[in-house]
Amino acid sequence: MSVDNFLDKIKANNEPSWLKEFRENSLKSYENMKSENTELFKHQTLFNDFDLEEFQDYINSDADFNFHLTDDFAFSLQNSNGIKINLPDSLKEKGIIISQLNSDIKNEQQFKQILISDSKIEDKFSHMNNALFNSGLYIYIPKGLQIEIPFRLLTSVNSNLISKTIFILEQDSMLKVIKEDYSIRSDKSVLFSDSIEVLLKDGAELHVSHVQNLGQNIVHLSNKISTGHRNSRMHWNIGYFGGKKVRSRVYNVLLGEGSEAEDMEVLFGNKEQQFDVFSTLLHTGKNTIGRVLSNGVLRDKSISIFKGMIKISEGAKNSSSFLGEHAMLLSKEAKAKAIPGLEIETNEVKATHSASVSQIEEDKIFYLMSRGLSDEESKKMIALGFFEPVIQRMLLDEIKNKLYQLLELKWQGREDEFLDDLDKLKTEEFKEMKRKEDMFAGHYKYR
Amino acid sequence: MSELTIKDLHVEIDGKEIVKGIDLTIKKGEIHALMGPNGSGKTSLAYVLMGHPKYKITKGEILLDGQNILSLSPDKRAKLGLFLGFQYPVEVSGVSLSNFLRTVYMSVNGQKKKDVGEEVLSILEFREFLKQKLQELQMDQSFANRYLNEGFSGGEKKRAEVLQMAILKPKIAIIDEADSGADVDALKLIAKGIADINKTNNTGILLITHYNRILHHLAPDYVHVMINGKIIKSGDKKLADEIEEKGYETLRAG
Repeated sequence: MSVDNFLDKIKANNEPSWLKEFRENSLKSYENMKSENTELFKHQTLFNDFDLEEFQDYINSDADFNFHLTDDFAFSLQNSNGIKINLPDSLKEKGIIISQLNSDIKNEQQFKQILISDSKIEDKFSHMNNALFNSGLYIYIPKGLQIEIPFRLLTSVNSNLISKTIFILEQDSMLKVIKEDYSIRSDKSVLFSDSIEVLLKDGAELHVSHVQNLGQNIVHLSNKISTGHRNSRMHWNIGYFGGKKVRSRVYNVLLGEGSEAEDMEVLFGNKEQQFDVFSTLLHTGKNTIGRVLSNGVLRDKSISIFKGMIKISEGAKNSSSFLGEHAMLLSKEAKAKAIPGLEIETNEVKATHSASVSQIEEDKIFYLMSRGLSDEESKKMIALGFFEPVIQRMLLDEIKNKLYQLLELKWQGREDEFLDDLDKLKTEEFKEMKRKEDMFAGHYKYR
Repeated sequence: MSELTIKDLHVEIDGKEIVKGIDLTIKKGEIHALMGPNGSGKTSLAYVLMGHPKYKITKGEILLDGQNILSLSPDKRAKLGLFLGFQYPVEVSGVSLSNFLRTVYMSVNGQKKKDVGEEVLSILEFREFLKQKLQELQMDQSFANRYLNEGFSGGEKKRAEVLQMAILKPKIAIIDEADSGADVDALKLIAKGIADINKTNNTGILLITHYNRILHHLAPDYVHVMINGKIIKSGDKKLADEIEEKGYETLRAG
């Protein structure tokens, strides 16, 4: 199907006219924006030429999964055929919404505002996602509701997928989300564009822990955008492991006075993986706090670029911002660049950054070997230790443990074992989670 | 009887000979001080004994309990019971001291103890053991959770080296400039830590030092003076006193 046909199909699909128009404009913006040339990949455009002709039909049906669950905690299962959502009645009654983006969206006005506001960020692949998203979630948390048990969002990519997830958290609400991306074992080149867009009202707080362990046949375009109002808190805890090419963009807009955003990222590349990771903090409110820390280890012939940007506008007095990007190279052929940027328009702020690209040092290996560790054990200790300052800052023990497990597997080159029996693995894990949840009394509380 | 024997050892780095024929035997329970001015080749000798890959051994042998260890990697030497206390211990971020110590304890002692039917310390017992050792070295318990050597002061790093030695219980320990960067109080604790392992574990010690400051707190059985890649004189503690008084120059001239 061509892009035009795709859009025709969408038009026939009863979308509101504003959304059709939005898609058409976004497609124009996508096509008009120049392709990217990043510093590491000179004369090499990593993310431009996709075959947009192959997208699947607009999706309405529930996806077919082998999970056999009658659970009463919130989760969604997404693959390239569709989405299955589970929202327990007890949560529904409180006014929580998890729905597919393409079904009737309540608060359409808010949804529209988010899309249009986020589309002002000039990002080619964000425009592409806006034009062509064909799957996704809308998650709404009402005022004052705090949910301790994390929502689980699981995506299993089996063919091209362009997904968008919108979060709206009303005043003083709180939500934790564990998002995991896996894929079906395949050699076919597959595109996965994923945009997560967050609106935090006054005092709202969202934790998104995102673990990406896609197969190395997947081109992954991740866009993450949050807008925080007064005293809101946004936490991103991210682990990138898989993908053939991964382009990640995180934009945190600290709009309201006293809002905070934190982006903790780890990345572990091997073979011929290519990463392009960029995290931006935009401070516009007074007394805002932003923190980005991104550590990556590159093995074999993997390459990565780590970019960061702190922008503090004139009105953002008394704000503080930190940006750290560190890469460790484990082989002569691995490459990385760390490029921090600062644009500060006011004086009364604190903004610091640190960036480094280092080889694993021979003297460190010798030191550890002199204590009885083998060459391999010493390198592993140094490399995995490199992630630790970031993982220590992550919020959920569950995510820390999952990252440790994936780091260990990836170190051993066994990262794709996850792909073999995902359904079974997840069924067990979800059962375990259900068991744990039963031990807690409630899902939620009011502030 | 455990012993480290160095026979006619010659070492090159970047084509330049820096160790020019060393003969030395350290027996279990003995304390040897190897003294010499800067640039005499002391640290290079220490690195070579532990197996640093950047040095080229052109002649000679290093034997541990009669086994030639020249072809062994540093970890294999450590497992045979050789230890090097570094002049400049490296910082390893993200690895807590307690996890590190537990890992190396298991790596070096775990199998060995099982082989001789001794009990290996459980995680809880190990924690208790570590707590006690930290106390002895007057290191705050919080050191256990800090990253290995990261942000440690000079004296703290040296105490952490002694701590590692106490946990690994080597047969022979080479300790390079144990006191550099340490104040008087730290120096006493370091000397006591070395004396303890020497006494309780009968560990043979090769103490490499520029000054005899530490020798006031730790009496050596033998003192050797190394200048320009060679041991030019050996003796007992009196030799160290002589150096303190007259410096290395008179020995060099003599």
